[in-house]
Amino acid sequence: MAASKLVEGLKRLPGGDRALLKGFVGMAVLALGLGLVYGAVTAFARAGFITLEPDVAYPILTLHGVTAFFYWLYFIQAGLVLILVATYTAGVERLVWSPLAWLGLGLMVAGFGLSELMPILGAVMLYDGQPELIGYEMTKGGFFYLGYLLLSLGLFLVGVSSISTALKPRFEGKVQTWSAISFASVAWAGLLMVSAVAAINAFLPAALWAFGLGPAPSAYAMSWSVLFHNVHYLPLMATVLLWYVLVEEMVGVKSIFGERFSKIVFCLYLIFVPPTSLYHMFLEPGLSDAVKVLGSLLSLFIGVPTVLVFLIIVASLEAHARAHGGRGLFGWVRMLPWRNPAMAAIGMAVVNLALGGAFSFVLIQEKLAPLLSDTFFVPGYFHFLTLGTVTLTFIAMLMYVIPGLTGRPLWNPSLLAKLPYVTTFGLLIFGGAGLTAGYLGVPRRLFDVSYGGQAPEIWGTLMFVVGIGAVFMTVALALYVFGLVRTLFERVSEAGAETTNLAVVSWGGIAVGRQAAWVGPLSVLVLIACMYVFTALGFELMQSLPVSVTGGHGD
Amino acid sequence: MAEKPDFDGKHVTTRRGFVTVLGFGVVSLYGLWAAYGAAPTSLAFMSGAEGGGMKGMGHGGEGGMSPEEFNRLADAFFEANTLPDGSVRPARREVAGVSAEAREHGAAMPGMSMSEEDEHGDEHEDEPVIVYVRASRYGYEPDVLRLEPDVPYKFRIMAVDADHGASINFRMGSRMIRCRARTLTEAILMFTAPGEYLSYCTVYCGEGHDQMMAKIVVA
Repeated sequence: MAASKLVEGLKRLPGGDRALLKGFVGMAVLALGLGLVYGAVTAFARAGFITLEPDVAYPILTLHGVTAFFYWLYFIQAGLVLILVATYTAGVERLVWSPLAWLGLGLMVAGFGLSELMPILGAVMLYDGQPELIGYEMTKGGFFYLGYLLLSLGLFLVGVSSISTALKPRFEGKVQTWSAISFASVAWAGLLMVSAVAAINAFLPAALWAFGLGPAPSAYAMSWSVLFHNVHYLPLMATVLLWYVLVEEMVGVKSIFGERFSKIVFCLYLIFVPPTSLYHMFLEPGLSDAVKVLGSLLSLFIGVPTVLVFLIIVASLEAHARAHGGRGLFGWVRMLPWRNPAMAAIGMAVVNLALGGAFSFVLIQEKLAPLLSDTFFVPGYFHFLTLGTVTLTFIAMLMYVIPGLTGRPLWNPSLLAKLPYVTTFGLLIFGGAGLTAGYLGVPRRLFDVSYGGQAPEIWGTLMFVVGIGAVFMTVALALYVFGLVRTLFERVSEAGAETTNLAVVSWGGIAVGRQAAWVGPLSVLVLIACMYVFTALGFELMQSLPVSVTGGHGD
Repeated sequence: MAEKPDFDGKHVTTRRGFVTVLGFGVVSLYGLWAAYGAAPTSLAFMSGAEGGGMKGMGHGGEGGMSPEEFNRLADAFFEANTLPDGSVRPARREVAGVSAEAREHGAAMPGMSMSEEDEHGDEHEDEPVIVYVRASRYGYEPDVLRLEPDVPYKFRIMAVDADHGASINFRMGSRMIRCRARTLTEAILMFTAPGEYLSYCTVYCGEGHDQMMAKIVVA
């Protein structure tokens, strides 16, 4: 069995660097666990399984967003970007400026503490920290923003350390070019730093205002939209990069299209993501028609790099599988090491990305924003992405990273290999009911959808079904967290046995020649067909409403 | 599946050009948008022209009116149109005065773009009836609004304390309206079927958010 490049790379790092990375990973798993608890309570309350008063429910909803979206996703990204530059960049022996990264971890932990505490103490501003909701809790609101500012500063420092680590071997003349993974990791680190600056731009004026040191933030909604757009695409870019890494780990396959092509595709994220934030603002009063149309048009390109990476990976896998005897249109898929929990996780991540992606393209059409924005359509589709795609992929990566850092084999791989299917099953229920609810107008960020009996009865039924889906998602994620914690803290370690309990195949090192790869293209065609159907459904529904809207300012 | 090699020995499905073209395939969704009239087929939109055949599906707003001015106009509207049961039924004739006042106000306010008819100061039979809606924690004024079918109503909505929604549910779907605090949001709506419709807040505004609703009766 070939040695894991990732695990061997981690084992080579000095003890101090390994301790730092364990810190990031440990905090990430803690945030994931807490985010899961808050999310489960939120979903169960919306479903009517439990009853929460608003003064309890909305702080928990705030904490779910804060913990899962910001701290889970950013602790894990900070740790993984350091890990990738340290283990996949030729010539790197240790992290550069690791004290900066330690300081970054400390700031992020401090920020985490503040962001967790303030909603409990009364700063219930949802995870986007809307200044309008601060009420009389100005100081607590200020500390809430301060939590985000510390997170941002910490991320910035981690980015500096990551890029410096990748640059050092080049400055020393040890390497002439980066691998595609190193290249993409540096881009990832750079975007983390850009996002940190965007966060400071959004939260610093709000914090100063809350502490009585400045005027009320005048353009918070705009600043938030720019920040949010970048921070919610970063994990997706990281996800496709990690698919590269994990496929190489588990199947031994590299891109058949060459490293240069992969680098160009990763660059497309830098080109297409930043200018496409307009679609988050389609429902904002006063946005001109030209801006809305332009926003829709630009947003069409946002899926291009992700689809390209998907095609590169699937085509590379299929061509190699066929070179190893794979037959039939889908027969080769069975040859993949599905008993490996990381393989199962990224396999389901691809499925969930297709589902979430198809529905997300409904929302980028500005004419459909008045039908779907601010409805449960939004959480209905984005959980396919945040949980089903990004989180499953990050967890898959942790199944290699934690054994590499601790020397302990992964806890119960056979059980963990089943969890992606449970998660996806739950997501199908959650998302199916949630998206339907969205089409029908059920609002997001609301616990009692009955409106005193005025709302359609089906709203409550759909929320109940959403809760059923959340049960499956909760069980699967809870087992994941348990397994990761057990692997982190198990007393016994066994050098050399870290990943021997994870099934792999080795298809690399052979010429694939003229092998065909049709599954990727066919999958993309199905995806596009789904986009057409779901978008057309939105238009048809919009046109069937017994109301016509014939004008107004801005129209 | 036939495996047809291309000229340089690679199958077409494993060529960079093929996957690149396919990757950009998602952009083809534009064709569906255009078919529904939801996207322009030229760059006319850049010069400010209407974007397509599905006109007015969005809603707009202006920040030029102060909350004080809005409240003055809204109070006049409520006073003129409130029925004995507390509900509000805007009438064309009664609203005309308010409409003219609003028009006068709008013409004087920077950033307020009024319609061509407004600028001429003319009143037309088919001019939309102006309806004022005031949103504040945790309710709307009016909380019951009585309207007629097939009559255009120009909704002038302001959230006077915090961000709110003023969305309307039609059972098979909703019309979402987001109102930023102290910013005038306008939309011209014409209800085409009688019924009782729930109007509800779709932007979290505080602990009473769940109870923030009103009723629109179209008869």
